[in-house]
Amino acid sequence: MLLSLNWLKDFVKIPKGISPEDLALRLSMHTVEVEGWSDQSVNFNGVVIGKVLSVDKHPNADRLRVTTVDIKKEILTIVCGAPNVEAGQFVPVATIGAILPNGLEIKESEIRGEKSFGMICAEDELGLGTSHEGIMVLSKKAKIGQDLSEYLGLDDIILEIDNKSLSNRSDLWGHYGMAREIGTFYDSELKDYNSFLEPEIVSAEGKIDIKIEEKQLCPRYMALSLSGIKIEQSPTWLKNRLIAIGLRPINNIVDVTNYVMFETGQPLHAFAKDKVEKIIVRLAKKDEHIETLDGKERELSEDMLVIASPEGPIAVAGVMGGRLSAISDETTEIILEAANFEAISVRKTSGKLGLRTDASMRYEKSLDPNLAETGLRRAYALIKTICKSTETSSAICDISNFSLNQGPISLNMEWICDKMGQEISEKQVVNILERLGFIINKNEGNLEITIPTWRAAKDVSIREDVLEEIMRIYGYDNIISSAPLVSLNPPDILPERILEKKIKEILSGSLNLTETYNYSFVGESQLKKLNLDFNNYLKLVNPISDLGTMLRQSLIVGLVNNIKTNQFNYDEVRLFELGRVYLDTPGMFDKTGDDKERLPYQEKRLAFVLSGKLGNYFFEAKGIIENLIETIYNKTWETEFVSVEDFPAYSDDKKSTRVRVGGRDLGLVTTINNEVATKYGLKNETVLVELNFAELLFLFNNCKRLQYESVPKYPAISRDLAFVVDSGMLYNDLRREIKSFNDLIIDVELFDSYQGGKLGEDHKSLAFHIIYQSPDRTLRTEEIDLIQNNLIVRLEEKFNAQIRNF
Amino acid sequence: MRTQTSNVQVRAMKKYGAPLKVIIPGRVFRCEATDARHEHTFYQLEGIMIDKKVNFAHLKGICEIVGKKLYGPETKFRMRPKFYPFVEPGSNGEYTCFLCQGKGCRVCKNTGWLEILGCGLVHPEVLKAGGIDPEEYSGLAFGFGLTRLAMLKYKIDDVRLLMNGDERFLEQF
Repeated sequence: MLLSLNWLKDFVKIPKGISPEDLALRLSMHTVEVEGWSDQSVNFNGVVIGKVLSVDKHPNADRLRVTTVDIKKEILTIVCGAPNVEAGQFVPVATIGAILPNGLEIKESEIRGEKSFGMICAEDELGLGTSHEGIMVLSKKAKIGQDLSEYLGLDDIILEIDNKSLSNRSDLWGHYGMAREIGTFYDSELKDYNSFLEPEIVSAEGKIDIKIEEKQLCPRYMALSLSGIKIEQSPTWLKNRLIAIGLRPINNIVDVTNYVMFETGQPLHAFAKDKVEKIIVRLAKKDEHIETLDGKERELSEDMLVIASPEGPIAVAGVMGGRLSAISDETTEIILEAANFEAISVRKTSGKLGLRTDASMRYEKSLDPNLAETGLRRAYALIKTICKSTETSSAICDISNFSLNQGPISLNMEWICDKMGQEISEKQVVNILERLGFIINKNEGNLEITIPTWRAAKDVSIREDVLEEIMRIYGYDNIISSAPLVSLNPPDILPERILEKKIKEILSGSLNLTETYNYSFVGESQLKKLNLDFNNYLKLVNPISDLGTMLRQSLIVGLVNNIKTNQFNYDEVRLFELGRVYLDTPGMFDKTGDDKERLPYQEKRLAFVLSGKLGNYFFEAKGIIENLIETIYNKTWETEFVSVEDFPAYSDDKKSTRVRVGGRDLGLVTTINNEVATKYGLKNETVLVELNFAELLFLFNNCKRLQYESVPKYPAISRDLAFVVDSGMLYNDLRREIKSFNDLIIDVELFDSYQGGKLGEDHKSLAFHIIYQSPDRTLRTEEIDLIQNNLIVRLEEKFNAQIRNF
Repeated sequence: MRTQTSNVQVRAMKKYGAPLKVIIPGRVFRCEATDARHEHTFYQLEGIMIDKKVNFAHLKGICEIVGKKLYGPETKFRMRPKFYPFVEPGSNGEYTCFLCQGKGCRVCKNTGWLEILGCGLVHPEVLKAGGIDPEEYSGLAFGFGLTRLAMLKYKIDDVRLLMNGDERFLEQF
């Protein structure tokens, strides 16, 4: 919203020496955010009034003329293309160096061989209208050399307010409300608005036939019929005010309704009386439509409030008037409407129609119904001033159905100071509140505070609201900060966060993965390419794009997509994500407030992806998991990789496995199969891991604590053995068997795996370091040989494993 | 899934009661078309403190310390009234622009200040909803846009980079 400083000055005295910067800053610090301010006259810098002395034909161009213009300081030669330029005219002259509102900079120039030292301007070039018919011809009363801004009275300062910061303050949507704030923080007198209103509207005979069918949605409806209207242009002062705040003047009546809205905040509407036989405020009927003032045909729905005549809707209540009942140049009698419509209904209607207007923006903030009367009386006063032949041609119609809770709210000084955290005097409090319009009664040490009607509609209702009024005017800046005096309790330890941090450190540290975040939303095309069934995915009612119509049920969808983003820039991509998925089963959070329904289960997962052409990523993925599990659980458990039947449809089953730790299933390692890789456009082998974080956390809460074990006194002895086994054999089965074969075997490490060559495709060789150690003696060679021989026999019996002969 | 982390205030009150000091980080969602400056998914960090005699001066003191920790000991803190439905009185919080040290630059729109947080005293209805008696206890609350903080700190000019998994971006951190 734009505010005119001249307009504000109608109501409040701004102390001497206050610059626009000061005012903007104080408004921002106490009331609403000022986004910026501008000096209207800047638009006309370098534009002065000149008198055309002579007009001659241009020697080289039929349509151009060469003029001389007196601008008092000097006489300029100017080439002009306008057909209407004549000697003796007073005209706006943009001198060299001037920058016009459209960005055009005036320079000395040569036009078809004739020098030109300025420009005689048309209305549109000055941003004063749309006319480009010819140059703007000014009144003979203009003074030669005078600044155009001064001549036009367009020397206002314009403040731009951030509308969002006004959303809770319906009283600030007009100049008078803002003036009240300014008067309060500058402690400066505010003029009584009653002095701007028509003291008494003389009723005439005759009634306007009005019926309110929806009293809830229309708490107040006022109307007054006026005859003797002559539709014409508004006087300059009125037009200038509207131009200053960015409105386009239309005609005297429309301009007055706009003027009053931007002064009081109350929207008004004028109907042409001959088009409106009767006024009915009702809900729209099925299949009804209306052509609104902007010339658009609009479909109405049955929840929209309309103003109707017996023939049909004539306005969308609180949003925009209809074309049929609009005033025209021939109108001589009008019905002036000042109504109050319910906020939520207006907001919904305006949203549905995609039509936000100055009126709807105000109604949706909950206007004070008393403002309707103020607006009507102000409008009447203005219309009578600028259109003297106006007479009332009806009694004032006023149908109201509202009540406001004006309190009183009771509070005391001790409570105020407690909440502020510092002392403030009662005198200061009372002064602030009274300037804002609150009425205060002192009652046994309490302040009984009555809320003014313009703050009672929605804005102020409890003592904390009053506290904010006191504090913001006192100034948040004047509050001296302090540290709270509270008991110092050690925070609860949250294993979940500790584990998360640990995992992130390990993966992004020694394991060389990069952490990423992906959206919680996935699209159909992505899931289809991965052969995933999305029947039980939660769908969004109002998706932002096709790429995010559902909630993810796996982190791998995002990670595969990341591979596509990166594969052309890197030979190898290694990413991980810790995040939630959204499943179609009830979770822990209550959805409805009565514990009857629960929000979907939002499971936390840990996933990573390895993709590239540099390694064997299936093995590496398993290694990463083993490493992680060993580190985060202090070697409590070993990781087992279990073969199962049922892998996701995107996986290559031969290079996929489930992950088990401590007897619990943690998740999956999968390799994307060739069909999906081709469909998805993946260049390289891609291996994905997804683990259930709740399971990881369970194990974390139950793992061993690190504890010192005495350093072995006797030496360990390492023996290497290689076995040839079926190629389908899992190394872990073999390793476990070796490890558990004898208590003296304390560790087993795979150090080589080989397939092919002389062994053939059906067999592979697995080579292990086997470590022997005793806590109570040095082992002898014979002792180890015996165990080793028995072990070889055992493995042959159990797995048909043969010792490999090199 | 939520549009802000403030809903956790009530959950925390119900779970732990008063007095309470809690920090709430989290992913939030908005119905917003994305471009370089707008994102439908981002991160917030919220703090709430409830005790007897917690007041506005404390809120200001805490936010001041946070600013000095984040942006250096010279950082100043400024509060301006702003409406948030779950606090009363409500305020925004601005820190000295750390890019220009308050002199005024493009990022702070020549004001010398960066709007970083929203805060206020916890609304009595919120305390009641959390099962805490507003006559006995009062609370302060503040919330930061974590994503915005990160963008300002590292001069990231496109918010979408934070969520698109491009290694060329990720590997810089």
